[in-house]
Amino acid sequence: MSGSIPASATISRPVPRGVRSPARRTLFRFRRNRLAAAALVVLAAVHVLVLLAPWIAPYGPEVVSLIERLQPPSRQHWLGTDEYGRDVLTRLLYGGRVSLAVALWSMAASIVIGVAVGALGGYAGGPTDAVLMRITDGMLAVPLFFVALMALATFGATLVNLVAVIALSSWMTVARTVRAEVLRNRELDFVAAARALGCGRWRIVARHVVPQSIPSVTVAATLGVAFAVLLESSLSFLGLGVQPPAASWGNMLSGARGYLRTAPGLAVVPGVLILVTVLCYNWLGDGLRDAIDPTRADR
Amino acid sequence: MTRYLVGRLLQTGVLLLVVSVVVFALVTQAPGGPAILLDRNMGPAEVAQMRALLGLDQPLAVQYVRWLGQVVSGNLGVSYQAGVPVREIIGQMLPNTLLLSAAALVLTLAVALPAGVISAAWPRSATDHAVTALTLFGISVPTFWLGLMLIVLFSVALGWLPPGGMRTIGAPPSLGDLARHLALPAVVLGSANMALVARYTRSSTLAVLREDYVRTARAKGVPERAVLCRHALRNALLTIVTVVGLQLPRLVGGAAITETVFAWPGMGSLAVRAAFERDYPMIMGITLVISAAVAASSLLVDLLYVWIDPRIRYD
Repeated sequence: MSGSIPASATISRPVPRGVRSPARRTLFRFRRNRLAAAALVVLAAVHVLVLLAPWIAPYGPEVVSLIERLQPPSRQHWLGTDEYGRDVLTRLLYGGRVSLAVALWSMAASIVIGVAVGALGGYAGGPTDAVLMRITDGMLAVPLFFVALMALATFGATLVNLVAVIALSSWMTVARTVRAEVLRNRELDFVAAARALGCGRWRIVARHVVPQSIPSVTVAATLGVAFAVLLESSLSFLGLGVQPPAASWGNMLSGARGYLRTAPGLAVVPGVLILVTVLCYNWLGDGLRDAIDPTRADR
Repeated sequence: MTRYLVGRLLQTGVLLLVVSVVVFALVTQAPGGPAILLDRNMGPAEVAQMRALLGLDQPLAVQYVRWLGQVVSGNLGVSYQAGVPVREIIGQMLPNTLLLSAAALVLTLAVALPAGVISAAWPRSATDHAVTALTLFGISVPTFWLGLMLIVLFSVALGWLPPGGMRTIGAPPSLGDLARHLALPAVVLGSANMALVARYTRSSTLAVLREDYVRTARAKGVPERAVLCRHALRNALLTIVTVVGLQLPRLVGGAAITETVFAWPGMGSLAVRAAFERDYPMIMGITLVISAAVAASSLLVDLLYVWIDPRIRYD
């Protein structure tokens, strides 16, 4: 049902006319943004396909067939085969599982760190805040990609390490956003009311102050997934991501690099998938931001 | 101003110290140690001898303090793998990376500033939509994949530009040859920044265009062109410079990838190799130089503020 409900439709639902909660108004604005809605549909499709990989993939992800190597797309292999004769479509589906899992988990971890640091700093204030913000700013000033590289080369590029490294290099924006929100919200009347009613310090933070920043954290999380997908693929490309023979979108590109002359198609498809996924997450994030805060200056 | 500068330099020093400790603590945890100790031709006795020779048998704290002592006297140690002083290798590679980064930065500003301003001057026009779409593309495209695609297009299919390296082997070094090799990597390295800068230029110019002094300028009859360039862009520059400054650390990561894709002999590809070889002195030297370069550039950005906006003073 679209956001612009015809007057007749309200008869069945006793919602008073003209009353709209902020959440519903946000939803309405989001639905009106066709691009963001389309991005959501594409992302849903990508995630479902990738999740279903073991059931819908035509072949096994690591089935090598040397007589069929580097084949162009055909009826047997819709997207052709790679340098070991493995089915490209199959590997894309399985690789997507890995790439998206790494991206989503590292986003979740970075949100946890970011919210904790931001809420603690913003609400505690004083020296705690000063120290936490110094650390945050310091992390932002360091070429983290480099440190990530060193860490992965040292500890090995396992999935857990990959998630940790990506999360540790992307929580800072979340921390800053949450801190700013907490600083703004903690002086509001409802917080004073909660305090007057005898709410404890941390209960106020957890139940009253932090939830206020959920909208902006949602936006940060969405854009964070886009960033994580890109970072994972870059690290995989340098050989510091998911290790072959397991597939990820990044390491498929890394493998395709040696065949740019003979089979350029191998390098095209995974890249397009990464591009589309990241693009949709960015669109979605922008759409959410506009829906949540329609007063932004650059409209 | 002097006090501010001294404070900033002190902060930078602390930051570099912390980064070097963290990176040292990280890399020395590697199981098996440096790749040079993994030579199959060496017996256990020789490995032990080699470890003693490199000082790896000492406690970590001692190793770190030794390294720091060397750094203070201007020496970065000797690369395990190459057997050459780290300072020499970095001295060869750093100018190449600086050249690449500078080219990318110039390209970024030359494309992004006009695009953002034009986009803001005629919001919701066809140009604006095109710029917005392109910037989203630029932010979303994986750098290395863009590089691969450009190689396929311009080197493999069209044969216009070389697929990698810095100069044609055997040809006499010339500026034209260098420029041909520089073109693709600079575009690739600049792409993400171009998109970001264009985006922020657009939004901050849009915000500035609503200011009273812009209306005053227009009312006085100042030509639109001058309003855009002199009144709007100059005030929007503050935001833009901030964005560029914030992106500097990321630019370094981008350089590592771009240099690897195009086999550009610079700090980025050097770092990737050193990380794989666990060449401790090399890794530490690169970390130090790159962090210092990034810190110096962000200091430069902060000083640029004073020049852009005379209201800003550091006391």
